[in-house]
Amino acid sequence: MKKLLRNIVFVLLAGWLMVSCTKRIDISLKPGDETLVVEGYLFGGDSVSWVRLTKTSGYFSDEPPPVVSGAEVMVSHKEQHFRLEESAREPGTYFLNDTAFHLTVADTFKLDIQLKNPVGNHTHFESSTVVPPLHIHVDSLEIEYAPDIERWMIHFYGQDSPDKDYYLFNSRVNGRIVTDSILKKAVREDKFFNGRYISGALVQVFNKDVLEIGDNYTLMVSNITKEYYDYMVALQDEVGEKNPLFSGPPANVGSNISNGAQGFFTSFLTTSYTVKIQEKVNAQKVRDIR
Amino acid sequence: MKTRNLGFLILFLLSLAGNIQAQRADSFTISGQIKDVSTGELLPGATIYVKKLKTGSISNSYGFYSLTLPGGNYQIVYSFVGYQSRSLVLSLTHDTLINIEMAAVSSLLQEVEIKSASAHENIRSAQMSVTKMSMRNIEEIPSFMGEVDLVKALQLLPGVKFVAEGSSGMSVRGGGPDQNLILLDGATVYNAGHLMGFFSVFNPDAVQSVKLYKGDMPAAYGGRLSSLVEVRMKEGNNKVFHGQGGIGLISSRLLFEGPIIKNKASFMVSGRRTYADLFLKLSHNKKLRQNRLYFYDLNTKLNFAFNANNHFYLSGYFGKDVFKNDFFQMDWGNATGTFRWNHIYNEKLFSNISFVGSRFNYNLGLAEDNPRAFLWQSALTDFMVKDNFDWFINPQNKLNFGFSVIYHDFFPGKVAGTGTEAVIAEYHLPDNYALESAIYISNEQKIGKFTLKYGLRLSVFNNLGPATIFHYDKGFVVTDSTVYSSKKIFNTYLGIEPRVGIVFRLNESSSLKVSYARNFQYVQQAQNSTAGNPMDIWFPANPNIKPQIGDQVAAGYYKDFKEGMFFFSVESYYKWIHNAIDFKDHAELLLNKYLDGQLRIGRGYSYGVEFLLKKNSGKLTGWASYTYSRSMRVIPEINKGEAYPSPYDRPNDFSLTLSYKINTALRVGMSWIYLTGQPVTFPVSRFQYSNTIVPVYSGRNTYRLADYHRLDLSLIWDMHSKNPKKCHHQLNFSIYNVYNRKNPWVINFRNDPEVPNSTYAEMTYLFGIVPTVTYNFKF
Repeated sequence: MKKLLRNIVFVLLAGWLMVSCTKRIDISLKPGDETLVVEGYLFGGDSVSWVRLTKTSGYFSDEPPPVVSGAEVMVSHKEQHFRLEESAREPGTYFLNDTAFHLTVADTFKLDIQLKNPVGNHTHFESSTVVPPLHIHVDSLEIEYAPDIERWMIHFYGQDSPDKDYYLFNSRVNGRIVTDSILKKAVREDKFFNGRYISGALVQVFNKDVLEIGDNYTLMVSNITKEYYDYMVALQDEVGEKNPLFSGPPANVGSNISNGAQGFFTSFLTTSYTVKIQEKVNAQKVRDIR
Repeated sequence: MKTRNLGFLILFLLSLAGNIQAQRADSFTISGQIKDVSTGELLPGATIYVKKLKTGSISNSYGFYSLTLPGGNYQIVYSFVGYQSRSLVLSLTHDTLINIEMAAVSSLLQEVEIKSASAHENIRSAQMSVTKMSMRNIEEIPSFMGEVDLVKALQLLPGVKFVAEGSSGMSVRGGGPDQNLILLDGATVYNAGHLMGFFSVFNPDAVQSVKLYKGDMPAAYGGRLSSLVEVRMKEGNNKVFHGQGGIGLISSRLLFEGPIIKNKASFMVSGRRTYADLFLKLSHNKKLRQNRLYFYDLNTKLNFAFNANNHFYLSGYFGKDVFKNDFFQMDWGNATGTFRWNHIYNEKLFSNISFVGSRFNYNLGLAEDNPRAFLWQSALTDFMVKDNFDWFINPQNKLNFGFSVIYHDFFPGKVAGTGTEAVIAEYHLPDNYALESAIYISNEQKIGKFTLKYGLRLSVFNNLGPATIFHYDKGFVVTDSTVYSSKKIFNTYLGIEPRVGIVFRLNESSSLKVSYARNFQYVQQAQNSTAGNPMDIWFPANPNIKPQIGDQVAAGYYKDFKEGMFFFSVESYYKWIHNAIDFKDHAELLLNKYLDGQLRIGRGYSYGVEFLLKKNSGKLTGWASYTYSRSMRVIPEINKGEAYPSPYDRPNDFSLTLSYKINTALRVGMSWIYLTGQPVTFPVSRFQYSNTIVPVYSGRNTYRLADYHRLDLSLIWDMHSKNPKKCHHQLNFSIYNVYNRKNPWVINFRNDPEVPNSTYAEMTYLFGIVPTVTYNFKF
């Protein structure tokens, strides 16, 4: 909410005043050290868990991130070890296809990565994640279309637990994920409504063309760890708009991978809620309550 | 220094003064007040000079002066910058009261060459690194959008830099904007900016003068590390009724002043309001018509000279920014109030007792009729009492002493749902209370060609209950908390702040000075951006946060040329900051109960050399300044513990500010500024996460934006009437950024939406050429 307000204040108060203009400029940047990048998720339910291994590249490189193939990627829980298999279609992405794998709340999973060739002078990387409990229950959604700003706004209703909670919100439209980048995802902490019934918190905002009447809209809500919440907030800070009024100094986003690798390895359970978009009436709300 | 030593020093100062007093018991004292003849306003900083003895004095902040001399015949010269000097011949046989009225040399009406009356003041004064500007000087500087702005004028002085394009925040000798103590008639102004800082809160009509001290503050002041900005409001004309105002591009102004009881009591009331929203009402768009966006200032002052020895003042400032539409609303502003009592105990002892209140607050939230409406409020309120004494012991010694007590009430924030379907429960950050007290004593002593300034300020900071203090482990994770009961002092810091300086007069027109000053800062702002915004809260020192301490040494050479027509100075300084505050990466500073855990403490240092060449008189006046400086921080948890440039580290800073009087009606002005680009952090590589390109940085502030430079021009056309009693009209044409320099405000690194995997750098710049015209009038 603070970030949302911050942006509102900035746009409304400063934007009118400034005859601000932008232009692309050429900047010469020094090259940084090459490091491994790990993006790893362990999902509950039917979703297939995966780990993607890439490398950092020059900031103005116009190429896709260099992938790291041929690695041995292992997820372990106590005495159980699950080997991830590299996808033939997506080199550098390793899927956990073992049907014995199951995500249980409070379990700790360890990630081990052994590379064929060193990246950043290292061949072995590791991380771990603890599965947070899924406290949240979604009881209804409110889909609002705001004609003034031509945006769809998704409000969420449900009961927050008395514990400290951090939430990740993703969305699908007709089964296709639409929150496919960092700034489209939403993360929230519960300090403003801890233990209370959440009565219509704004959790997603979409352009007008993302949703149409007749679409099936699905909100996916996950409890995430504080560490992953902090990581997502840092990511959103770094890839979002910056200005001298509100932005702190740029800073690296951190990582929970060993040996200086970038990225994050995390796990979470997800609950979802689907509604059919029935109306698009200006300034009116359609609420589906179950 | 131990407390016992401190006691000895105070006793020594007092005994010194007493001895000197005894030695000169056969002398007589001339004292009085120096006033403007046309308005009755007191003139602080006027010079009183006795040629025969080559000695003199300077009137204090309230125009009072005192000079003790052996009996005899003297010619005494009273002078003040911008005023015609007055000379009196006097046979001094007893203590004498002489109130002097001086006439301003109107640069508008007469072709008189103004010789700087205080030509030698900068040479003789024991105070270093201080600049005084009158509003008349400031009005000649080209303005931004027609708004004459004293803070923007200060930013043209050596050692002073703006914190971002167009910002009224300033960095003095590498310090942060929260290290400047900004006083309006003695009251702290916690947020000096309107419209996100693009305009300062000081209405030029209502201001008489501004004085900037760069670190070497008098012992009477403290609480900030970098500077003191002392803004004085006009007192109100106690002779005739007078009005003035202006209509500008974004605001209009109106001031009235006049006598309540002629020569005894007067009033001043001055207002300014922007009117962008008034034009919005003309829009065909209903939504636009509902927008309200404005700021206003209201300055008021009453003063009453009860008798020759007692003078009362009551002044107030109220300013607010308001933005409101049918979705969102926000307002913020300052309110200050000052009651002062000037009392002259005798011809040598003057006191000023002040009772001051100051408040800054903001409110924001969704519109009240929104079912999900909420209200977010924050405030900081101060109450202060201060008693200050000036004891003019003799021409060789002037003692200043007194005390001050400030009660701080921090209300860092509360957010609560107010609508029928509010999502937010009440979230209230713990309030804080504190007492900031000080006693001080300082003497200015002349010994031959030397003038010594030595003083001590003893400050005490008490945290008061009720309060909740969180405890943190080494990883800054909260481990526990302690709740303190109401009115209990649970934490105390003591600050011993010596202020010393030496002036060596090489001759009548040049001098060398050195100084050392230590300052403690107990209250600071949680500002992580370079320019800041109104939501940045102030927070106190507490058991987790030690006070920041600044030590500054400075040395300078000062020279007047051609009887004060030119003034040259060069000053160098080195400043150490202990317990310097920065914030962790991705710090969360708003609505965070655990703010202390977001801080990272280290040290800072800055150094520089400042050159100033000033032309005080003639048709062409103005100044050129050049500063080379560095400002660095060392914080163990930031930049791998290595030193990094502070956001205000801009090594080369040059400005040229000129005003040329073509004739009695026309004046042209210009200012050109150049600064090294601001230090910034740029990426060195990138990676992809969640289909998004994420930058990777190396060191903090290792790159710089392109150098900043800008030329502004102005033309002032005075339309004089032959009848001085009639209204005087003036048109002020200004052009900001004449050659349309695209100075970078920020650089963002973006993904190219058209080309997958491609990134580019995009510069945002704010103001191109901005021509404005302002109509001013006086009657």
